[in-house]
Amino acid sequence: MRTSLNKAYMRFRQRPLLWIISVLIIVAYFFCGFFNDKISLFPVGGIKTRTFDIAPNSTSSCPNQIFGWSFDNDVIRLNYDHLAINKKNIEIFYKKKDGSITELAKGYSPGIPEDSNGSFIATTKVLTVDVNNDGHPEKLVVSAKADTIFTRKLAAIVAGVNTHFNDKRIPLEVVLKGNDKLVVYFEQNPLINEEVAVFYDNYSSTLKTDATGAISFDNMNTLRNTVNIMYQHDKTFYLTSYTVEGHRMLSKEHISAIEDLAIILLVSGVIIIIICIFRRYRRRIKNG
Amino acid sequence: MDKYFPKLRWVILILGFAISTFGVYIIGKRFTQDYVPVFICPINREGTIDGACYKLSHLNGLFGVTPWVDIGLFFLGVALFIVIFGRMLCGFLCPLGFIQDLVFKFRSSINGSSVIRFGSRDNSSVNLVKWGFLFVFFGICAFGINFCDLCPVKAVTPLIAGGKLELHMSFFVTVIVVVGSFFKYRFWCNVCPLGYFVGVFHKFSLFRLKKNCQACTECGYCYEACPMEIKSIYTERKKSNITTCDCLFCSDCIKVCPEDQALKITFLGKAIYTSSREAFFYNNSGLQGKKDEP
Repeated sequence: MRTSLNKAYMRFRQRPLLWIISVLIIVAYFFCGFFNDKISLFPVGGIKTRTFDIAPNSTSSCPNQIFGWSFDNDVIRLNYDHLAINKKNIEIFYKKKDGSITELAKGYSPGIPEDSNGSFIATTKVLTVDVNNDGHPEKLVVSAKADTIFTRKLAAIVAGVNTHFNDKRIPLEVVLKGNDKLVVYFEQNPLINEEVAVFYDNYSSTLKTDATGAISFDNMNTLRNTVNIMYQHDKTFYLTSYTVEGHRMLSKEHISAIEDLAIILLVSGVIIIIICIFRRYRRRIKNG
Repeated sequence: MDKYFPKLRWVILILGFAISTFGVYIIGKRFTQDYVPVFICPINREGTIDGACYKLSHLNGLFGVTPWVDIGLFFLGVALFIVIFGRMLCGFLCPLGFIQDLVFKFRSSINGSSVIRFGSRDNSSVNLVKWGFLFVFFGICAFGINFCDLCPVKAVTPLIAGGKLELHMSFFVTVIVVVGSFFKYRFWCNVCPLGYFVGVFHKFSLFRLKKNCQACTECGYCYEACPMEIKSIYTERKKSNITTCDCLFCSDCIKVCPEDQALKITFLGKAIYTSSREAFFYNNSGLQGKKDEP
């Protein structure tokens, strides 16, 4: 027993760093068991740390957006054109993790329910606006949809996360398919081989949906900055906006994430310095 | 080409890191196919490409949910990458490999303390750790422990891209990897389960590391330079193909080889990087960046 202990000690003395690292990895394995029940793939604190805000669109990221979402650090903001839309008429729905749809309490509770999967849609009463500039006002049904980073992370982990609200109250809806396609749904059915007007930033065009009701986007950043899709049916115009949240450079969350990385590097640096001092000290003892 | 191959590797590493970490910022494109068998964290939604690591380490989830056609396509895609590139992906594309290279370069630039080599005796214990990781990577997810909780990449690429995550043990393992990489070149690659999995199929890879045993003088520089401490690089006296499951194709052995045509990396039998005296002196005598004398 004593001899084997001596042998182990000698081996430790020959390669102390390797043994320390091996023990640390075993400890990591051990502790791993305590954390496996936590979902460690979502932003810290979960979706409940975010808040809602509804504001006139002076802060909108898209100039031609009358109804759309934007993301500002922890705040998920619904921007609306206050000349056309009455704030009191706005209804917000969210999709639960189990796939059901629930309306957010009136008065817009600023906190986001924990059972939300991160997809939101806002609607308002039918507007009467001269959409095509012919001097006669037309009916305009507007909605705005947002998929937050939570939805997208859930989609990355769980295949087949459904962000399609598929609700009668939302006649025109778009659903992100893959990373570069939007499927346009009209009255709960895909809009197949139909022309829709697409506009965002300074771009405006008419695109035709394919056999699956999808239109393609070359650039994911387009969806980050809100894309608007308009469809005309029976003298009524339907307008929906869609925004996909992405991480933003040097945002509060980004800086916070970088801080975590900085802590990792700092801890590593301190350990490296300690090991270097230890090795130098050992070398000095060896050399007498 | 021979002179610039190591630089080319760095360029590809940097580009690969940028594309896999915040490619959506740069080019706005994101691919849904995750066939590349390297640790590119799919939880980071800003990367243009995802690694196959998540699906491979969660096979229970893959077989439970995904249609059989998609499962077949996934394995076919992964197999194609393994056959075409093999562990070259580790040496040229892996974001964690890039981080390790950076840390090691930093050590070299500050003239840090001497490099640690595991040696043949310690390699057996390193292999044990590697097998342990492999077991966790492929098997334990079915029993409740998730490899992502340990994965050091989760604590690097999503954080750099802006996604704040709960790190748990990843924090701990990442610290070990950073500290280890300071003292040992490509520390994590020695125990990387995914790299080992890719390396197992090295016999099918189109990239090969070949040796001309007649030209080799057994100086041992290649072994000294090899981050994976592959002994057969200089002990092999018969076979020309010396690719092993550990070889990352980092080309460091070729860079330090002073003999013409003694070592080379080939693709489909055609040499793409060959050792030469000229390149040896160029790479090891501080001539980089200077114009050739007429």
